Amino acid sequence: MLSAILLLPLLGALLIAVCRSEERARLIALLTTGATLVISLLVALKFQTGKTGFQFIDYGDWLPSLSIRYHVGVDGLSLIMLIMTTLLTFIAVASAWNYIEERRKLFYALLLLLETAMVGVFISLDMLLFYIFWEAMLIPMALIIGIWGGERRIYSALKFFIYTFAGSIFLLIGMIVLVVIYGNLTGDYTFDITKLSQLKLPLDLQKWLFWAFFIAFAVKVPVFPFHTWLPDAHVEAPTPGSVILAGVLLKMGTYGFLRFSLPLFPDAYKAYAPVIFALGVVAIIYTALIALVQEDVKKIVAYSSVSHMGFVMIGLFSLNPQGIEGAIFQMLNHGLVSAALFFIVGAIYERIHTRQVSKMGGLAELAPKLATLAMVFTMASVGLPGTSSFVGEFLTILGGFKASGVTGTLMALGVIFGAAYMLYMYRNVFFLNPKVFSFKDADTRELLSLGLLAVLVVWWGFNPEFVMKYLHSYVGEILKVAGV
Amino acid sequence: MGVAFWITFLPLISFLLCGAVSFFRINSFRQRSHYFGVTAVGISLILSTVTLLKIGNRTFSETWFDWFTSGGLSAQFGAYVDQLTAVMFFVVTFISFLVHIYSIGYMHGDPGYDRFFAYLGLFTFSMLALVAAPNFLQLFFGWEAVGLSSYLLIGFWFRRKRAADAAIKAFLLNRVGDFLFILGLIIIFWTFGTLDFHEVFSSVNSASKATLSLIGLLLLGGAVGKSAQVPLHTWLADAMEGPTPISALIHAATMVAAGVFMIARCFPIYDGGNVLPIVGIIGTVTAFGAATVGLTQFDIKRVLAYSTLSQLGYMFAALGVGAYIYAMFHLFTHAFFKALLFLGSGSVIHAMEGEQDIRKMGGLGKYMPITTATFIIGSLALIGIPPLAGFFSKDRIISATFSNGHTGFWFFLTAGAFLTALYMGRLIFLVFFGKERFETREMKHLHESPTVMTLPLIVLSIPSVVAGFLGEWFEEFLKQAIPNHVEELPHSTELILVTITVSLALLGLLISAMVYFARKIDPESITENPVIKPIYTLIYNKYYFDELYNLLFVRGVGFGLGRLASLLDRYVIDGIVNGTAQLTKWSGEILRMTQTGVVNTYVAYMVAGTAIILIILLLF
Repeated sequence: MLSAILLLPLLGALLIAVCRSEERARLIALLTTGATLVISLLVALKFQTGKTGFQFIDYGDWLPSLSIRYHVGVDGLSLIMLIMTTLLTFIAVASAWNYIEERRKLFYALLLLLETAMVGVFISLDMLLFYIFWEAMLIPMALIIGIWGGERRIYSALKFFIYTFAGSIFLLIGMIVLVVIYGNLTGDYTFDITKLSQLKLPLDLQKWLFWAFFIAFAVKVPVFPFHTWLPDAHVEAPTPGSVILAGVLLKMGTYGFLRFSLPLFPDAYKAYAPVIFALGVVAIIYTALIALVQEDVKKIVAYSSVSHMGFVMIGLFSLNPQGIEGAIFQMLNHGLVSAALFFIVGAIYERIHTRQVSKMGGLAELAPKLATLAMVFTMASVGLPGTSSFVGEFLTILGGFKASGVTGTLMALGVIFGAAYMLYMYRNVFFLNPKVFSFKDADTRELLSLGLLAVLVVWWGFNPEFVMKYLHSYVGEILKVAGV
Repeated sequence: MGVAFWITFLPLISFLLCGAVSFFRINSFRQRSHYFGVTAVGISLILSTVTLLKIGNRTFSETWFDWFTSGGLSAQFGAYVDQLTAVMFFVVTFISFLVHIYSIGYMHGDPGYDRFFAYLGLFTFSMLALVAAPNFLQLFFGWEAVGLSSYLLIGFWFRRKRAADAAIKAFLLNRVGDFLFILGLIIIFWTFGTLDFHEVFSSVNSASKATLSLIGLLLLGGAVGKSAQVPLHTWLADAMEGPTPISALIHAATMVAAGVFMIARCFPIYDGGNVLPIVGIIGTVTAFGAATVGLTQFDIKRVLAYSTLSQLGYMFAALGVGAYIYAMFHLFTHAFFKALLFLGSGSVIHAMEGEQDIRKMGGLGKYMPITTATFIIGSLALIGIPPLAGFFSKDRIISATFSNGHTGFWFFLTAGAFLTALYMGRLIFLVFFGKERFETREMKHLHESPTVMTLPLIVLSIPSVVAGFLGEWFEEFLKQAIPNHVEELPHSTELILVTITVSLALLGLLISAMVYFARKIDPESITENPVIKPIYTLIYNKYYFDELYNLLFVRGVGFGLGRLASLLDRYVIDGIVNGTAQLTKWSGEILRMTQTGVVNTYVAYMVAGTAIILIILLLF
């Protein structure tokens, strides 16, 4: 089933390639991503929540001489990331519907390739397979920014590509070192994540490898101070690009920390937690301050992403159930909320061709439906109880506080700043007197996409257990592995 | 699902229905949204009344649904209904119901009529969820959700910049309090391993006094924000930008009292810690300080807003001396007469076509007799003229501060009572009596408000008169839920205290009558007096809190630090990134110079290289 999820978008991309009509490409993309979403939901339905370890494993030899295997499977963490990916790709297609007007065939084909790569990252159980998907994902993403982006798209696409690629080199080196050490010890040269996780490395070596992996993941999250590619990439990326970038791509970094850094280098992970706490707290407060003075709506949302990912990082390194469960939940929640916010920004840009807050205003009067939905996501971003953000934020602060009182306190302080920039942005865009005269309210496509996300945000705000039941046994297990 | 569930969730249903009408523009219901609200809250009110009358000495719990679990934390939505909650259920649904009725008239014809009733439903639900809470997490849910409704309703007329700004200000100042509040919650969880009220309160003895004090202080932070006490009080006056029925419901009777309710609910924590004196100081400072400001304002709603601050200060002072029940009793009576006053002011503003400046009113008494009569009743109740409601509740607080030995509190609260009479007298005489100072344009529309608006005024004036007599019953009733640490006073002392307060109140009224009715003294001659003028300017400008906060937080932290961080990010952090890239590029370019593609150069490199190797080999 997992292989079907991996292959389906690939098939869709092929279909688009042979399809003659530019118009039909988006329909094919919508159907493909829809079908992929349905299958991934089926996986969730059949997933046994009480069990630890991987399920739905697909297995096959690929390059036996190098002991590289095709090996995929999901545990609670992967499953949630998988659903988030297939859902947000579906939403991304909806957000691209009218936004992308040129070279549609190429665009949707790239988007589907991107989906395959992203899914691959989250379900690979072979480290080299993981790495291939991890890097493969860069190409369609950079092209999406570089072809359909704004004025400085080439600069941003290059920066995004080179920055993340440079980070990944360290990951590759680290991986090879790890495999060689494991091979020398056991005689079994393998990239199998489940086997490698059982390795108990000496602390010194753990430390080196931790930092090698850290750079790759930290750039992706992004962890302060590796975040400057993100605002540039977002501002230039087309709406669907931003949806995927904020919604899915950033989580690959945090996913990496959980999937690799924690089980492989538990002692280094614990030892460096204070460093991460410091970086996380700086990210939360510093980027929130920056967001407060931005003129470009997309920059505000982009910086808010860095700020929110700070909560996730601290949660992950707090090493208690609340912190880690909260962090994973916050990853999913941030996916929904930031995707929705970028969707809304894109919808506004389609209509008035500006992203400057000073040129907006009064949209609540002209577009009450869009304004209502935007209010839901603004409040979600602010972390209001009753939205899914509260659960993630509260649990990460709870966990962060347990690990370090100062960290927890500063995280909670960050919540004030988070409210400040979101509310000022909402006021400038939707309240006050209108500065534009005609503005069409959300159409059916926008209502359905944003409505779906809004329903999820509120539903999981009141019933987060629907998602978190997948996490409990995974988190219990990973904490055991880490020896906490 | 039990009765508390329906009390709480019926208003939510109204929110959903009105919200759907508003969102989908269902025209046949847009101007009839009040059907949903009035029906839902009406039933809630009936259920609350029954609960209040039937609960007796029992308590009951309900579990509605699970929220989330993580590690040892498990959170549920549900209700814990004791005498305290029963009283709050009644107060909230009663005032909310009357405000719903009143709004039919007040909001008539407003393009956002349906949206208004949706928000009212959301607020009522949130407030009821707050008072029903069986655990800290649901309390926090309600706490934030009332904040959201308050934000939405203050900014209801969102085209006005002042309204939009006031909404943000209210939200952010509350957030400052909530920052402390949530830290309090977190420490509670890591201390007691649970957020359930019962389990926490039954094991407070296991925690040290220092921990309890810290928790109490952090929770107090939240209460100070929500109940607009010094120093987080500045949002409440600005919140008057919202529609007046909202000011009555949210910013006078119910939401702002949530802080008082919360501290009363958490009495075991406060009794166990050392924080109560701070609660008392904050309350007394607010009670007295806000009363002085109330004396200088010219906007009818702002005068009432400062009066609300001041009365909330009395409740905090009562909590501060351990008189939890007296604080709740004042909350109870204040809800009626302050809602009455705000709705009355709304009636005046309605008649005056939106004019709120009391300098432009005068002589309204003969045009709107019902509004005038009920407003005067409300004012006298607030001033504390016996036997109206405010007399009983305020007097109990003032005597309790004295009997518990806090003479400092007692002095300022008594002085506050005098100021209350002064500013309310000033308000009544300037608005309803004396010369008509409005223009002919407003004159034409002057009329008594429609029955949907006057009826709630009449209904509210009844408890404003008689609720005071419920004091004994109230005390006995609430004793089953919360304590009241008050020393008995000898009757003679009590009589002297009462005489002092009442005479001061009467004196205040008399002076205001002299100045604003009989015009024996020109108020300008007082404010222009060289000794008084600097003090007057200070008070008139609300002690410059707004200016200070604006400078420190909006300009300083917000824009100052924000700009700085923004520059740092762009030039330093991104500068290093781009610098590294540039450096790589340059080194590439330099190295490229070696790759000329000219054979002669390569031969030269080869010879030079061989020579160097030979030299090295020969030397070593």
